Amino acid sequence: MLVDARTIPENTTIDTDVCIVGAGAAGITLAKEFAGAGFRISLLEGGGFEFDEATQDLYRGETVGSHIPLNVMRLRYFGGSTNHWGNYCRPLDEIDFEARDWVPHSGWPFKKSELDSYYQRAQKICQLGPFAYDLDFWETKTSPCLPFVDDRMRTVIFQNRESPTRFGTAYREEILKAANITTLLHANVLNIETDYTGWTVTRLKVACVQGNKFAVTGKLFILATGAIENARLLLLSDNVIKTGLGNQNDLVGRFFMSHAICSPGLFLPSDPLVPATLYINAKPAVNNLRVTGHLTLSPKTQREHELLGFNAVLSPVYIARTGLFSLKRLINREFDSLAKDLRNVIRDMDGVAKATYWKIVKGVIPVDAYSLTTAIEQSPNPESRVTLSSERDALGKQRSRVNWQLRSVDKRSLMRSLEILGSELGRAGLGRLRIDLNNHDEIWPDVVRDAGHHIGTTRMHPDPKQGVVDENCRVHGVSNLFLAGSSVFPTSGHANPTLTLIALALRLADHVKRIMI
Amino acid sequence: MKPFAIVTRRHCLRMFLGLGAILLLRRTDAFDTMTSSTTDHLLSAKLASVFYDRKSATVIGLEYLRRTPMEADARQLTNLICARWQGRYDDIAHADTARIKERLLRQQREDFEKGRIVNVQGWILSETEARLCALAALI
Repeated sequence: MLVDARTIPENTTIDTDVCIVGAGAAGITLAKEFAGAGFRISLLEGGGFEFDEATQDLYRGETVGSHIPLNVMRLRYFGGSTNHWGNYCRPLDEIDFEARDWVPHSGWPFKKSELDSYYQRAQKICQLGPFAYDLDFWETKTSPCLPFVDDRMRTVIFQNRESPTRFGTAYREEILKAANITTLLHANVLNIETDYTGWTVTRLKVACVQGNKFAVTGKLFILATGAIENARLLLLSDNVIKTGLGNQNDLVGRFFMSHAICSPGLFLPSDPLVPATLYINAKPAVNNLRVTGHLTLSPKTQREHELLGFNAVLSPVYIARTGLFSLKRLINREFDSLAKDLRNVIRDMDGVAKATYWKIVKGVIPVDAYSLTTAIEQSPNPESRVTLSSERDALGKQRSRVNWQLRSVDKRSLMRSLEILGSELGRAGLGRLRIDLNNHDEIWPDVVRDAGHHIGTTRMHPDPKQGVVDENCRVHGVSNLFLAGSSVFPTSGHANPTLTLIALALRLADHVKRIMI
Repeated sequence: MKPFAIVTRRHCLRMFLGLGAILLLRRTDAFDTMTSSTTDHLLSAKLASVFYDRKSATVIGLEYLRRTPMEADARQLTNLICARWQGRYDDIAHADTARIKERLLRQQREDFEKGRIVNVQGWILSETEARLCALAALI
């Protein structure tokens, strides 16, 4: 059933069994799982089915540090940020779930194997190819991987759809047809009220931008509004605990993480015909599916050097050519004069014959160099956080303030990872790497940008002094409030978060079904 | 006293013998010095000749020496490059270029494996190849 909340009379109370706040990837996944279950669901979405500026403005907020504006990376209408995502998916690695002694605050309450079955289901929801992320499965079906000497470096697989799955359109009909689900559009939660002990959520106060206000009561509530908004709603809900719901230990909003993306260097291949197509991000898809190899460190290398996660993809770079070889005349500033001389030197050192160098194989264009684009795991930093701004939105509520803080340990990890990559490329005779970042720990170049993967603001830990939610994503100290999405991740890994947050939502759905039935 | 000392035959003989001894000694020293510097020079030249494109190697080498000016000496660079060759300089100096190059390539790979890398304007190079380029720039 569909309800336009703008038509709900002022001060109405809507009663339900389970209330899901937010119709993005996590909220829609939960709703799909609850369709046909023996309890009532209300799915609240702040926007409509289409983008509208007034609603989107509610996402505007304050940022400190290098961060894309909050109302640019998030979308506030049915489908959420899946309305503009790239559909890139990969499960987190086993090491991402471990408590690593060189990464303070690392460690999930369970191992990756706990999510294995949920990942497989999440794969189908994202409408991707087979649930196969090992190189062995894909190598014969795509181009080969770079032949490193041993397992210090490895190639991992990401999948994405050329036409990304827009959850709002892909699953709208299914949700609207479910008899036990009421979808309320234009319904913006203002805050969450509890009984006087703070132990039980009693109702949500909801408002439309157009002005009418109402309430929703229920037995169980799930916030699925993204890492920034989940934290904001908890911080705004201060009728009992003045610092915010679930915030008795000052953890809500802390440990905000995102993957830092940058172009830190150039790979100069010894052989310009080296098969590196697997690593090119923008190559054509096959049957709407694109499989890309990402260079990363093996877990063994990560442990040995005490490094964070990291991955790199390649983009071909062509220099201006003259005469018969003027296939592309892009003059690329990255290919400096030293690179031209180094190319000649490594050709000699790595034994690439001159004839081979200038040979153009039919259908294969020699590539002069490859620009790297890297994504790095951010170390959990309690000072990187979401708080409330003094600015207020159109509904009179404080906006979010995001202070995204990268640290020197993140930079050092990236630099060392690049040195290892450079060493392994040289060791295998594949070429040489140029690192374009400076060595100063504290200085990140302006080219580092936030990937828009908002993670970690209501982290998971069985101890309420170390986490906002427990291992079942229930808010510590509140009996009937759960959180869904990447806000509960204790660590980010280097892979895009969506497949994992959907897997967690499926796991939460199973847990809620056990409670409710 | 007569203006010129009378140099007896015996005296001359002694002088010539002494002079001859000195000359002989000096010739021996010169011969030894010439042999070691010849080997060094031969080895340095052989090492620098692994590059087909000497000009490019020189460019890289000069960049390397900008950051490590204390290594701007052909002999020192040769010693550094060959430090792991267990002193068999003579054999290597007289070996053909292909064999030397093979040895250097193994060493270069080992440099990367063991973390013996240098940063030349951001480029991650092996110590051996950077020093070879530097040698090419100096000779």
